[in-house]
Amino acid sequence: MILIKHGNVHFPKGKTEKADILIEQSKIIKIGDHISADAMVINAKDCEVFPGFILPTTSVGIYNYADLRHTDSDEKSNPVNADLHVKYSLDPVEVKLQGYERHGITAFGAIPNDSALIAGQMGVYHTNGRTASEMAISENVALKVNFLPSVKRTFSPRSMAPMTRMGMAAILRKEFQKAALKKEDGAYDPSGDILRRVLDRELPLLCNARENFEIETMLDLQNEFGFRLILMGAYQAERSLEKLKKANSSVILGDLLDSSYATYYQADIPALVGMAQQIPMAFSNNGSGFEGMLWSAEKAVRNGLDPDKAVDMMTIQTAEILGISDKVGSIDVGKYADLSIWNGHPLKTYNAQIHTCITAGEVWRAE
Amino acid sequence: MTMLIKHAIIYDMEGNPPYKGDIYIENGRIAQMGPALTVCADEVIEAEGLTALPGLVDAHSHLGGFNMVNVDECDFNEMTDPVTPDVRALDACNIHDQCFMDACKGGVTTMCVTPGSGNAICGLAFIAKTAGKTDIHDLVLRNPSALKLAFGMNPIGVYGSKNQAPMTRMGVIKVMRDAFNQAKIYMEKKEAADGDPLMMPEFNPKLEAISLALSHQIPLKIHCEQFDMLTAIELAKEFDCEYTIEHAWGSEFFLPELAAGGGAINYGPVGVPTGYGELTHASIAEVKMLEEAGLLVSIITDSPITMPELIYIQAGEAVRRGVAHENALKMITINPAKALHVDDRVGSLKIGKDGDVVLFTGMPAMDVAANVKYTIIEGKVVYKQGEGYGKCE
Repeated sequence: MILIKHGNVHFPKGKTEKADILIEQSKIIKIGDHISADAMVINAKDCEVFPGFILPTTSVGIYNYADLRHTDSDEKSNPVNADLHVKYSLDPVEVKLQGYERHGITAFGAIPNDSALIAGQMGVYHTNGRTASEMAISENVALKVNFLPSVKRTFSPRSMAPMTRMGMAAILRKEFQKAALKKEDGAYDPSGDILRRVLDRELPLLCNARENFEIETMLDLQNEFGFRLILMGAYQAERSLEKLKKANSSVILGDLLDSSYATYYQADIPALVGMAQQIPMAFSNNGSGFEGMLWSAEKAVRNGLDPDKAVDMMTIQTAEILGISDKVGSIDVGKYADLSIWNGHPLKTYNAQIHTCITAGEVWRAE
Repeated sequence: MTMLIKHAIIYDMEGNPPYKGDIYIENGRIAQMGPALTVCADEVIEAEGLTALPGLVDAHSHLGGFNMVNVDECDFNEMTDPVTPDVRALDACNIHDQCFMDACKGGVTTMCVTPGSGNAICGLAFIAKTAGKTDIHDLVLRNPSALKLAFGMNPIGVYGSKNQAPMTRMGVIKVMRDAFNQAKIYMEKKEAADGDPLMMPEFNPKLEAISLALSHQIPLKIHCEQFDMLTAIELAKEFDCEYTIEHAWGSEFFLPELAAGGGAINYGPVGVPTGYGELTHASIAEVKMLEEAGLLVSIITDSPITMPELIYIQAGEAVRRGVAHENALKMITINPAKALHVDDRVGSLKIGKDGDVVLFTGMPAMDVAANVKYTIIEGKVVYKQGEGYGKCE
């Protein structure tokens, strides 16, 4: 057992409380005043105890950095790959190499890359562990779709569809219609089975779209087929805020510093960040390192976001968007012991250093 | 045209403790500084509650030559020949690229803009202000300012995939050494000709460009990571060139050699996934080790690969990893100005230097919420917070 004593514990919506936290194996079993137990004690006096941060969308871990020319994240042999799952590409060693603990990141969403139209299914994993199964928080999270020019750039040189965005939309529409008409005849159709689950609102669609006209097309398809929509990237999402609300869509913002995308897409950062008051939102990175998420949150704070709201967006809101808030995202009895302990508030001051990171009960200490 | 900035908390980066005072800029230069100046000016900026720093200096950028969403507009990698010393970044730099506004928004007023790293010998870099004039030639402080070289995966990836040299690290140094030796012979022939046109070697623009570095007119600006930096130092010593090490990921393993070599380190950007080989140890904690080893350390952004404002975010992350706050600020102001040899004009707030000032709300590299309120270049406001996107000249 592990006992974290005297910390200033952060709960959602900026609520804090001086409390002790008792951990048994991978779970939190007790939160309260003056807990005593036969446990390894971590003294968190003068420290801020946050839930572990969740990086919602990354291809790091399934990329295969050992051989850059042969990535495991981007199956682009066909535009439609609904029945692929990232769990078979996940390399726990590549995950461990990142040193996610340094930024207090205890979980990440592994997503296929940007070349295929329907790219495959994502999973959410702990940042520490021996096998994908042991690391898995949920492997039933979302189906990733790309509505980006990277798709048409992939297939157009092969003289095959889609070579335009209208071609991309047509394929999506056709695949969903086929799945909707699918008979319960037991015919082998693994891709159709997954799309059927999307239509049944069992599995959300995680859609990577950056510009507003791309987002509008996805909203149009959502309206037609009624699936649950999570947008990612979404640099111009604020222009469609009313439709996003109507569709109950959530937004995982793309990296706000990497590749200057925020500039190329003329992102209105205060307006984008302001949407967090109205719809579920999270921060992320793109193909960059995991630092991108914390830096995006820092940038949002510079643009007027409350630092505690920013923390919620890296924890409980991300967990809710990905459908895993029963397991992670806040400091609660019964949830995983995913904690990041800092000697200050990292979204208020750079003079806040990480002290300890706990991932499913595994302790990492800063030197 | 005169400007008076009043009541700012001034961090002059000259080693003085911060103080509350005024800065008076006349004809683009700082004419007076101190508490409570009694002077009138055409334009007065009330900076009560704001922090004044010298305009930030980014020693390594590709602004105006890379476009991250439109590959057709990428003009800084002439990847048709591994040796292209005679291409000049200035000739392809689009000052009207929207990313130049980001420099102003990020408080960056001086940049070294360099060709990319697709070739072993990449071309010539230049140093310029980031705004204030519509013609980039009017913004230039120095051109050419350095000969850019690149070790490692970039040139290897470009030429190796075509089964051409260099396709290995041993190939990269051979390509560089051969070109440098040819330039040396070329220079000797020119000297021996002593102005006699019949004796002169055939004009060779590539060797002319390399000879700028061999004759100490410009330094080498060397993209390298990990043990490639040892090769970089060996090359610079062999040809008696001044050099700077760019990116420098993994430099913690080579501190004695880097210290003995003496070249400045332009570190970053960090925030990349960790892989193998040169994709390891991109960590801002290394700037502290480099600083402690006695090296002149600056923090770079590689913009637009990352946005220019990442310069002060990385300075903040350096503070998180134990760098003294004042030293972190030096790494984005006076240190890069010294590394680029433009510290006579920029990098600190001092009478006689250029009137390049950035006014922050809060304390940059300490308060996460600290943001640029005004960016001023040579006494002219080039960015003011809240005046909307695209208002920056």
